[in-house]
Amino acid sequence: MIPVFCLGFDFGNAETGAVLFDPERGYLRAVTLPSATAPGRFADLLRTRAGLGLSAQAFADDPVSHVPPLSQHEYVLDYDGSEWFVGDLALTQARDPSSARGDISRYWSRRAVHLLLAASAHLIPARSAEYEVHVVTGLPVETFNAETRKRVKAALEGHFTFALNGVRRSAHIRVLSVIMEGAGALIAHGANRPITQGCIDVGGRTTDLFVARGQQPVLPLCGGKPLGVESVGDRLSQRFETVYGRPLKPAEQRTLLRAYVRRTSPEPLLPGLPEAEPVLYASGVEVPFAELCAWCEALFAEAGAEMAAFVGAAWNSSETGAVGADIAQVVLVGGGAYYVADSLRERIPHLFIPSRPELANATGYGALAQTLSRRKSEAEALARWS
Amino acid sequence: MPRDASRNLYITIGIPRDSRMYQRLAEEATETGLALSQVIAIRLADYYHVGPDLRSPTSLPSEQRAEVEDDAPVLAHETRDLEARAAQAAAAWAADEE
Repeated sequence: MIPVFCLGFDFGNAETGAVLFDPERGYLRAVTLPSATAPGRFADLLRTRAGLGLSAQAFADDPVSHVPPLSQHEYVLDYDGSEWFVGDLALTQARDPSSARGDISRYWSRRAVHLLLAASAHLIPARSAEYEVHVVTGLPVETFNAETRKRVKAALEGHFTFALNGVRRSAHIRVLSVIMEGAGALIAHGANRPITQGCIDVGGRTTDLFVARGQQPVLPLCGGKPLGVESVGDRLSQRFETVYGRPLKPAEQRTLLRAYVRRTSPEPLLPGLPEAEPVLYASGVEVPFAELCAWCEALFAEAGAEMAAFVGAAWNSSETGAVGADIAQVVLVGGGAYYVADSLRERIPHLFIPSRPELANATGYGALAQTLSRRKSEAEALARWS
Repeated sequence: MPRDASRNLYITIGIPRDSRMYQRLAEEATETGLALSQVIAIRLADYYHVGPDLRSPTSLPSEQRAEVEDDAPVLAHETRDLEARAAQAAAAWAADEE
């Protein structure tokens, strides 16, 4: 019998989050990875790593004494006759990584399928070579309509045979629902009562606002703006190029922004990150990290003010300038939550930031997938019985 | 399929034909292709569902945690509440599904 899993899949412009649920037992595990992919061959990578003394054969023979050739979060996907580096590998080992940032068709593109296959195969133990996964995913508020939902469902559903890091897998994917981004976060961290609650989702490219009464969307208060963390990364790169004569590479941007958060946060908000500060060079000269942090601080203050103005315009509830005052609870989520919380809290004092805000939507999607999956199997059981 | 009264309880209930509840049940029956009685049974099962608690990451046995990206909690609060909100969301978004 093919094992069935439920998956919340949040295919962001910058980062993809996936949260796996068991249909009966609930939450199992989660992963985030950069949404980037790039052409790249597994055999070439292994050959390069072997040159560095990291041998797949040696690791297979004696996993205690040897380091695996690939780290836990490096993925090479072999699907449909092509091989792709996915996530960190695409950023660090490929010449031209892409996440199709800003292209709305990305949500029903092959890249979305690649990320879904890599994330599900990573989360579902390899002993389940063949698996069925019931997926709930989301679309930005501005992109969400009946047609785009249909396209996402058509693109992601199907039977896929592929290999992840050389291990053959077979995935039967069913998309149970496509909902608005932000709705997932309110499932994960909202209130149970039928109160009006809002979500600010700061992503790589966009900031989305979602408001619901209970879980019922209040559409006039939902909206989006093309302003996200990646736009700050772009401005940072432009400034770096002006001063030091070269732009920042995508991997450098990501590392730098995360190191900035780690340095400025009172607690380790981004788990699993190395403590060491990144060392960047331009024309052989080391660039002081403190200088880059000062740039980050100024750019995030600007972006935060812009986001606060957007939220203020959308949720302004009185002439006093109070923002979201008639919304009982406001949750700030998305990977950008780490960077702009202070700016937004000045305007919305009742802002709440959950643990792991970058996984909030995927967690809610996963919980919804679990509910819908259970309901589906109960309906099928009843249909058999009656 | 013949009735099995020793295994199942069969009941007769009355629902006002002009009620919102009946309207929604009928819509769902049409959408899903199920009998109205089956939809009612599913909804009751949803409402009273008492499955095993959703487990927090830290309560998972080590073999299941081996592939967890890190141990920072994704769900910080009562997971039974999560189930309740997911059921509410299922109802809210079902109306939008084609």
